[in-house]
Amino acid sequence: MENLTIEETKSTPRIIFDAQENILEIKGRSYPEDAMKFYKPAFDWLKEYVVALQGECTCNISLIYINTSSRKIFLMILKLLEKAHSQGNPITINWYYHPDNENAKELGEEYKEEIELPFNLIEEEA
Amino acid sequence: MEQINPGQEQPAVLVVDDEEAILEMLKTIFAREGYRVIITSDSRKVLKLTREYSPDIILLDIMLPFLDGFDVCRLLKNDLLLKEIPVIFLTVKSEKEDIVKGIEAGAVDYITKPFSVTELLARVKTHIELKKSKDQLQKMNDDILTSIRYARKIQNSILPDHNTLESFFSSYFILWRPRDIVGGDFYWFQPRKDNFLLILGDCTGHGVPGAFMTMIANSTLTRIAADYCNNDPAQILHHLNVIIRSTLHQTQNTLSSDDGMDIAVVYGNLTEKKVIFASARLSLFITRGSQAIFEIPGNRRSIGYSSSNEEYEFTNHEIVLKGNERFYLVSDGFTDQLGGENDLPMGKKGFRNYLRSCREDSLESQKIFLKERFLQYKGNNSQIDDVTVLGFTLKNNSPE
Repeated sequence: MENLTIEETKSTPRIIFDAQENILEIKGRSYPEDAMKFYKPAFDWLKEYVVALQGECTCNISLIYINTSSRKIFLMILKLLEKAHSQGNPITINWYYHPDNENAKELGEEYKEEIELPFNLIEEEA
Repeated sequence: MEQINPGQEQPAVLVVDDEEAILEMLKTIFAREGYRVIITSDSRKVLKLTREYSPDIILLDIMLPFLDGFDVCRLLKNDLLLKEIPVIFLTVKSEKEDIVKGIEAGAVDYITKPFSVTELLARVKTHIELKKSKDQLQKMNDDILTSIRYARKIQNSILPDHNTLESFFSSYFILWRPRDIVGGDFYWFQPRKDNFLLILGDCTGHGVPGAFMTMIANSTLTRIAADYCNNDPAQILHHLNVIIRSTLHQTQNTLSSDDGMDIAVVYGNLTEKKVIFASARLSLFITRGSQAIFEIPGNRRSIGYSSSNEEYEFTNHEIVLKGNERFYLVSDGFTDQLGGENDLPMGKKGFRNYLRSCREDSLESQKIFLKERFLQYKGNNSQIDDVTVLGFTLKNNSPE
């Protein structure tokens, strides 16, 4: 399957989904005007990916700011991965945050509570 | 000399040149292409002719008696009514510096003599079309803005008025800064004899979609307070969740409409001297003089999203009033603002720190202080979301 690359903008993160290496990366800020519209290609890609997935997958997320509507979509993305995990493909989430970014840390904690996946909260170096 | 080749719907071109032969030639060329042509050799008449005939474009020579082309162009660009008309220099002066000077004077293009007729016509046509598109965009933008500004009037009219608030609060402030003209933050107040409901809501999104959500929230709250309950914040949130979900038909887990809100509900009773607070995500901050700031976080649930659970029960927190409490509600547009040294969100910690350093000031000066700190933190970043901070202290006695 083709890899997915979406370049970073001021209000949307960089997305690199690598189906060969099985590494999913999301990095930047997320406050698009229409979050549903922005994440649709990534969401569709993932739906296809998890069906074909065999083996381990790592998802690295590093987000400085996430608006409310993006949060809902992230939850849906994580739920999708959770399902694939429960079906026998080990998936690990690495949630990175800047030591001074209380909001990003709290959101990571919230997702960790809600999602049944190996979920590492990792403080980045300042 | 000046001459006009009359006609209505055709585009009009004003040609300014001191050489009769060139004027005549251009007149013929443009007339043949269906333009209305106005010509003059007198640079002092350009402004008057422009006002009179409203040309779509002006072709301007540079070396002219009396005023030179640069001066004429500057005069046009300084006139509010004429400055949008595109000016093209048509001149023998071909030095780089002249071209730069021409563009700096406000011209859209610069053509050197001798010129190719085809090229001149193509350029004139392009600039007239560009101007038309620009006018159209401007008009569309004006129409949209007029409509949104009107929407702001409506949104403002649902916000509680000063007199109502003043009869329950001995002092209060409202810092309300929508990111755009209208926004997704709103506050709602319902007075009764000796008790009231105060609500701060932060709907998903901002701008027009956010504002639509505030209107839904507003009427739903009025309905809940009238039909279900008006003194139990947790119950109000429960009903609000159920009604908003059904209003927005949010029953399926798809990537369709999934909107909702974070919302804090404060019930205050001046006779019983108590406050009850329940909230979907937003915190209530309480200060008592110089004591440490006390924060009651809301439940970690938003209202109305398809993922929210209809059975979920929110938590009531009761605060017994001692008389010196000050209460603060803040929407996450304040604490999420990107800025500071590392370009990170401010966080609730940031808000608490600001509140701590001004906790003994009057509410009025706190408002100014918080606003200044916010703007300072934001720096050159744009405001990321709608911002609301409410601060209030209750009257000691019931209103008459």
